[in-house]
Amino acid sequence: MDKQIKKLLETAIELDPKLANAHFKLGVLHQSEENFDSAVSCFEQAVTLDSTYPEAECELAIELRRSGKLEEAREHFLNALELDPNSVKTYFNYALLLIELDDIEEAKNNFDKVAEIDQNFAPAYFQKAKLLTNPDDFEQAKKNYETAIDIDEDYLEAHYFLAKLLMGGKATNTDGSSANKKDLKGAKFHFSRVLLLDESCSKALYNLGRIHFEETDYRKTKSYLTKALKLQPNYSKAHYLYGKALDLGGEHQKAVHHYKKSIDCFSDNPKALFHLGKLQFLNKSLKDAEENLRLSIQLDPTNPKSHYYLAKILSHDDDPSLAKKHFYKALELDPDFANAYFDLAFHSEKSGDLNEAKIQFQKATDVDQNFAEAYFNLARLSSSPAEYELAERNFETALEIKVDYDECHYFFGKLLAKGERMSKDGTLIIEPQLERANEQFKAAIRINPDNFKSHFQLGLLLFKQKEFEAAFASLQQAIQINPEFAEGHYQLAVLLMDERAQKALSKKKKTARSHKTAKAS
Amino acid sequence: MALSYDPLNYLRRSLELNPSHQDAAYMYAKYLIQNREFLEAVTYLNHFINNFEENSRLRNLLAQAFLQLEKFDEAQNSVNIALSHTPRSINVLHTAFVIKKAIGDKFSALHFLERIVSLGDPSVEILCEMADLLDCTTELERKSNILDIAYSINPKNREIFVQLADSFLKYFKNNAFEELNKHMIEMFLDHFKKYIPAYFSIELQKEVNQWIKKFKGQPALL
Repeated sequence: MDKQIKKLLETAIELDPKLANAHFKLGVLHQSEENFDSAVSCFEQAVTLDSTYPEAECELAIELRRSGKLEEAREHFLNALELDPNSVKTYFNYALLLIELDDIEEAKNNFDKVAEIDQNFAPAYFQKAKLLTNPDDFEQAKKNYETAIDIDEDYLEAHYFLAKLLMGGKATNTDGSSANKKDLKGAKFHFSRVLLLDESCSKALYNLGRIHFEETDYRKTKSYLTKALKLQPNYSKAHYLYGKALDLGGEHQKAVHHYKKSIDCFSDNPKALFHLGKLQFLNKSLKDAEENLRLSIQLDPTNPKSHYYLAKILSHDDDPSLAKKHFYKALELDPDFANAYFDLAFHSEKSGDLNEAKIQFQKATDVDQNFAEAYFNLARLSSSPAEYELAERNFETALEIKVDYDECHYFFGKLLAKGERMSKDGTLIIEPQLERANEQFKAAIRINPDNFKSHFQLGLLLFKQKEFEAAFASLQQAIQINPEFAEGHYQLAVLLMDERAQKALSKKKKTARSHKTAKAS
Repeated sequence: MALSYDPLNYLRRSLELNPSHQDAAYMYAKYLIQNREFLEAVTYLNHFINNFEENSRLRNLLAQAFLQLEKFDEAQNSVNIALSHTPRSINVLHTAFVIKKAIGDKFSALHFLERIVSLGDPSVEILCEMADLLDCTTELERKSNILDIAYSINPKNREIFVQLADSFLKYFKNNAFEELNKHMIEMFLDHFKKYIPAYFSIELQKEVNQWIKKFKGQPALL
């Protein structure tokens, strides 16, 4: 049929080459056959022959836009609009051109004009909504997408982009403050509609996976992502998210595989490189971890966590300054990174800089006032008599936050048992607080009965308090838990060589002997 | 594990687990010396010092063990090493004194006791040892002074008091009456003018009384 029409139109032009309408119609036919160059020449002929032909001006502009001749296209769109100021098609396509020319505001005005002329022209609402990306325009964008869908309920793209908008939820209140209008339920609904319209839409599947990931439903996340990856095996983002879901679910080896796939599909991938590096660090593959974290930093130097994990790896190096540099960088990027202060403190302690270590532990407690481990370690390092009060206060704070902190009870007990503190005039005062120390060691044992050191320290304390039987029992317990504990054996020997202890234990010794005899008989 | 009350079991096990444990090694060597197993102590201590760290306390014990075996050169050598590490250790200085005393070097023995005394708050035993060494007639004044200090530290010690009395009497006998030190007479009268202990032998009581009378008859001396 088209061929016949084409032949007739060509004959008509042969007979009368000045027949503008024939040129136009032939151009439309070429357009439908995707023979764009021929279409352009036909439309050009049409507008040359008839300078008052708005449809030809519009189609010529559309084709010129398609071929990248944007300024020429603009000229012909304006001609068309001058000739026919009510053409929906011209306004709409002109608006699309304006987007390409980066004149967004004018594009919006043109989409509005389209909607004004034809209230049921769904693409105009959709395209305008796409331009409303500022958080201030959240509601307006949502309204436009919804209108597009109201007009055409099978408008796939409108469903998809509305779902994306609802998933992000970045908006502002009337007073200008930021608001979170995230609506995951709504987003899920629209992504599902997309899938109903096109079940091969891998992006919708990926985004549904993302929503379930946010809802910490990793099983469903994996299910959607599996489908997305089946449709598009080189989908980098889907591999990355799958990796994260596996990572959080404890399936580290599989996660590593997906992070690697994500990087294979898209190499400039700092997030996947970071997570891969982090997992390799946790799996003690330090060389690979270092390589990937360095690459991640190269691509995105603003991720404090990449610097943090790299610093943790470098802290094993002989040169302490290498790790320090990255700890400091992490803290420069995120001054509230409590764990970075905490690990920097350990690193400083390891390299012998105790003052720096104390400062960093202190900062960790400033940033996170519930960081029991930081208080504990700060107290542990403040072991000199001059810092006795500080250590005591920090041990107490750590134990207020984390009551079942056996190591803290143990070290606090040691501090109290030693009882060495400096008075204001600088004299050394030795006042062991044996009862309080006793309580701390007992608490440590209650929490962790297998901690032989707590039994040992309690034994020494009881020996000091002349409770020889109890001291003997505690020291015995220590060497029973750890039979290789030389100091425990030694202190038992010291106890048993003490005359007072011998006297006190003689009764027990006799009982033990009589039990043995009874057993033997 | 069977419950044991024998400290040696624990001590030996501690050393098995950590053969370089200095406190345990010290205690074990001390135990051997107390049980007169001197040769074993020497072997053990030499082995420890050669294989692990040099230690003044262990060197001191080694010197004591050598002394018991009458290996004086080795004992002196060992105590000298100990002193090079801890020249102000009373225990080591005492061992050095005992060695010198054992080989009859009274002068050096006294020298070590003086070093102990110079470190402050000497024990009654050290003062008695010192007094014991001062057996020459020319040293009786010093001996009496030292015994006086020892007695003031432990006034219930009868033996010291007898020795003090004996020292005074020897001093009085060995010096011309007119040349007696006024301070010595005052000290003597302070102790015995009003009271002469019943546990003194009759001879000693008599002698003390005689000297009291003598001094009272010569008030110019006082």
